[in-house]
Amino acid sequence: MPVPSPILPLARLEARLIWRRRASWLLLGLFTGLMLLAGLLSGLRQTREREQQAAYQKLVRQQWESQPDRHPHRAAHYGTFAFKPRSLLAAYEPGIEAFAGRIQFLEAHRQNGANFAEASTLSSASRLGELSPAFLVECVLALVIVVLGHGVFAAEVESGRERLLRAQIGPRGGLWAGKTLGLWLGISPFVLIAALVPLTLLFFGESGLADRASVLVAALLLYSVLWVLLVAAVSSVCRTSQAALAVLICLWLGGGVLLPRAAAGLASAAHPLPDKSEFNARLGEEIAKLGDSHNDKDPAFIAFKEETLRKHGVSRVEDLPFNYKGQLMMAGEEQSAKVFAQEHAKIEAVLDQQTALVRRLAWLSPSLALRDLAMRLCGTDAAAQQRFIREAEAYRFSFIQHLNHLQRDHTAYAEKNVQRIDEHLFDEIEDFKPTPHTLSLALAGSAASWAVLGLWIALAALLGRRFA
Amino acid sequence: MKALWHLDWLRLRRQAATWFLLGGLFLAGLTAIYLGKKFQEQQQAEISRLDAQFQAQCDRLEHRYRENGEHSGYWSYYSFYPVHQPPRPLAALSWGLRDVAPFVTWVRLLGLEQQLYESSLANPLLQSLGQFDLAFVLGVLAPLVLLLLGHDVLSRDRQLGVLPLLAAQGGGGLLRMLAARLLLRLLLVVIVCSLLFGIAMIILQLPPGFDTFAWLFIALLGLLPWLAITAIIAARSRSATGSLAAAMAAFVSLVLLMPALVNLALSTLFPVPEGLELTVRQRQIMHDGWDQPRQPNYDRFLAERPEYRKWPTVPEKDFTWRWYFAMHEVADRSVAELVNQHTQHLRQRHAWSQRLAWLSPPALTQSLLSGHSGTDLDAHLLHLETTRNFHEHLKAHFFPLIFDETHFTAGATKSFPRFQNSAPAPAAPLNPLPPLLLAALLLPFARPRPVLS
Repeated sequence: MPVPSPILPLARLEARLIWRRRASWLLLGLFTGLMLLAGLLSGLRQTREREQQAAYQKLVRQQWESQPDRHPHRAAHYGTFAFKPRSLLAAYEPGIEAFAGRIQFLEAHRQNGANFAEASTLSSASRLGELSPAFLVECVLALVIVVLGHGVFAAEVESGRERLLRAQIGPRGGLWAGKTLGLWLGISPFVLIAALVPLTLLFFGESGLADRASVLVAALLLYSVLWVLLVAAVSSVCRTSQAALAVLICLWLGGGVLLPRAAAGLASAAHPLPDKSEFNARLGEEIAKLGDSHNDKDPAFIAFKEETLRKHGVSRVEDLPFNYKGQLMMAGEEQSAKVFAQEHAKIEAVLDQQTALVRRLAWLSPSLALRDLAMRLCGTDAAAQQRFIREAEAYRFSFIQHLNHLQRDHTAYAEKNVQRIDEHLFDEIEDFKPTPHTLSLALAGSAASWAVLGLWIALAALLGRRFA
Repeated sequence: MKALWHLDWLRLRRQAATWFLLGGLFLAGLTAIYLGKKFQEQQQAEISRLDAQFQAQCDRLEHRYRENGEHSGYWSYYSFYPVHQPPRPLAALSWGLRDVAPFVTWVRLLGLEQQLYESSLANPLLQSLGQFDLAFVLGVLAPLVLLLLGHDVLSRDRQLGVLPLLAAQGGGGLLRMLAARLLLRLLLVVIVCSLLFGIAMIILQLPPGFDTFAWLFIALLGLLPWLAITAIIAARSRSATGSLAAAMAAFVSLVLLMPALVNLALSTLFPVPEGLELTVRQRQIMHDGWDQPRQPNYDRFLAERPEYRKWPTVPEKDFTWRWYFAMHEVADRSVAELVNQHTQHLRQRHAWSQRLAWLSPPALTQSLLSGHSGTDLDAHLLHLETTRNFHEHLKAHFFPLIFDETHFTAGATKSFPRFQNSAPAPAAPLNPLPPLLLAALLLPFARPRPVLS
C-alpha cells in the first residue's frame, strides 16, 4: 500500500498552528488596517493630483490656443509645459515621485530641468519615509513572516518534537517541504491583503493597467516565497528560536533599513554629480561659443548665411523666398539643442553610474530588488523619469522648430520682428504626448532585480533543505 | 546598586551580541560622519565656486559688448546673480532638506517668481532611498541598539528561572534591578554616541561651543523616550522571544510606520498648491503685456512704485527696456497674494508636522535636530526670502540706470551688485522639553510583573 505523502498534512498542521496564536490575528488586523489606510490616503492623493494635473494641462492648452496674433518667436518664449504622465499605480509605489520634478517649462533656446519637486516643500521629518502599500509589503510583510515563522524548525528542535516528527514521517522525508509550505499557507492571508491593493486600483478605470498589476502581484508572491524560504532556512540552521529570530531581524534590518540609505549615501559620494551652478556655467560657456541667433549679423553665422544665399542663388537675404531670420533661428536652435543634449548626456552618465552602484548593492537586499520592480511597474522609477525628460526635450525641439518655421514662412525679413501672424497658426501645434507606460517598457532592464529574487530563493531553498 | 552594575557588566561583557550591536552602531556612525564630510565638502565647494562662475559670466558679457558697449537693459537681461545660503557647520550632521531644496539660486532682473522653483541637480532615486547622516544614526539606530540590548534584561532571567533568586539577593526588588540594568545599557549607548560625536567634531571641524554641544544634548535627550519604551517592554514581557518581538513592533511602529503615516496624512490633508500655479499665472500676465496697450500697464507699475514717477510715460510702438522690466514687475506683483498663501500653507503644514512629531520619538528628534542645524523648511523659506530681497536690491540698482537709457561700456560689470549677506539660517530655539515630557509620560508604565508570574 503506498504511504500517503506527509507534505500536505504537515502543511495543514503548520498553517493551523500559526492561526491558533493570538498574535497572528492581531498582526493580520494591524496589517489590514495599515494597508487600508495607506491605500486609501495614497489613492486619494494620487487621484487628486491627477485631477489637478489634468486641469493644469487643460488650462495651459487653453491659454496656448487663445493667444492673440503674435510674432512666432514671442510664442516660442511664451512656451508651454510638459507634464509627466501619472498612473494610478503610483498610489501603490510612489517611488521617486516626490523627489523628481514632474513638470518642465518648454521654451526657446534653453532646456529647463524638470521642476516643481514636492520634496523641497516638506518637513525634514518627512525624510523618514512616506507610508505606501508597497512600503508595507517591502518592510512589514517581511517582518511579519519573520515573527510568525522564526520557530518553524528551531522551536521543534528546542522542544524535542523534531525527532518525534521525523520518526512519524519515516525515511521518505518531506518535513522541510511540508513545514515550509505550511508557513507560506499560514501567511498567505497577508499576501492576499497586500495583493488586493494593486488589484483594487484596476477598478478605477484606468486602461492598460491589468498586465502591469498582475506582474506586480507575481513579484509580490515571489517576495513572500523568498522570505518564507529564508525564514525556514535560518530557523533550521539555528539551535534556538530566539537565535533564529535575532539573525532574521538582523537580515531584515540590514537589507530593509540600513542598506538602502547607505547605498544612497555611498553612490552619491562615489559618483558626485556636478552641481547646478557648475552645470549651468559650463552650459553658458558652450552656448556663448555658438553665437546669437537673434542677431542676423552675428559673425558666428556668416558662413551659414553665405551658404543659405548660395543655395538659393541670391546675393541678399532680402531676396530669399522666406524670412532669413526664421531660418537662422532654426539653425541656432539646432546647435543649442545639440549642446544641451551633449551636456545632459554627461549628467545622465553619472546618474547611471549611481543607479548601477545601488543595483549592485541590491544583490544584498531583496527588498531593494522588489522596490525596483514595483517602481518600474508603477512607472515611478528613474528610467521613467529619464524617459520623460528625454521625450519632453524632443518635443520641445519640434515645438520650437515649428514656431521658427512659422517665422520663416509667415513673417517678412523687412518687418524687424514686429509682425504678428494669425493666431490660428498656433493651434495646429499639438500638445506633448508622452509614450504611454507599458509592461514591456517597465520590464526592460529589470532582469537583474528578478535575478536577485531568484538567487535568494534558490539559496534559501538549498540551505533550508540541507539542514532540515 | 554598584554590585548590581558590576555583576551585570560582567555578564554583558561576555556576550557577543553586546559588542556586535555597539560595534555596528559605531561603524554606522563612522559611515555617517564620512558621508557628512562629503556632503559638507560638496556644498562648500559649490558655494566657493560661485564667485568665479559669476566672474566668468561677466567676462563673457564684457567680451560680447567690448566694442561699442550696449544699453544697460541688455547687460542686465543677460546677467544672472547667485544667491546662496551657507550651511551651518552642524548641517553635515543632520542634512534635513538641504539635499533636496536648493540653497543656491541664480536670479536675474526679470520676473522673479518663475525663477524660484528650479530643482537642484540631483538623483531622485538616491533621495528617495533616504539619508544616512549622524542624526539618523543617533536618532534611529542608537534607540534600536538600546532596545535590542535592553528588552530582555528581566525576561531572560525569568526564563532561566533565576529571577526570584536574583531579586532576593539584590534587595530593592525588580524595579531597582530593571533600572540598574537599563541605565548601564543606556550608558554604553551614550558613550558610543558621544565618542562618535567627538570624532565628528574633529573630522567636520565643528566649533566647540554651546551650539555644537546642544546638538549632542538633543540627540541624547532623544534616547530618553526610548529608555522608557525599553523599560516598559522589559518589565512587562514574560519571555525573551516575546520581548524581542515587542521591541521590533515598537521600533517598526514608531520609526517606520508612525512618521510615514503622519507624512502621508499631512500631504493628503494639507495639499499645497504647487509653485506651478504661480508660474502659469505670472507667465500669462507677463506675455499678455506684449499684446496690450503699454501705458496702462506702465501706470500700474508707477502706482506701486512711485519712486519711478520721474519717468512717467512709455512709447506705445517702440520697444523700451523701461516698459519691459516694469511689465515683469507688474506680473510679479499680481501673484504676490498667491505667493503669500503658498508660504502660509507650507508653514502651516510644517507646524502640524512638528506637532504630530510627538507621536514618534525619532520624528521628534529629527525635527529638533534639523531645526537646530538650520536645515529644515524654515531655513529653506528663509533662503527664498533672502533671494526675494536680493532681487529687490537688483531692481533698486538697475532700474534708475535702465530707465535713464544708460549705455554701459567696457568695465560695467565691475560695479554690478554682488550678493553679500551670506549668513546661515539661524538655529531654531532649543527646546529640551518634548523628549523629557514624552519620557516622563511613558516611564510610569514600566512596572515589572511580579517575580513569580
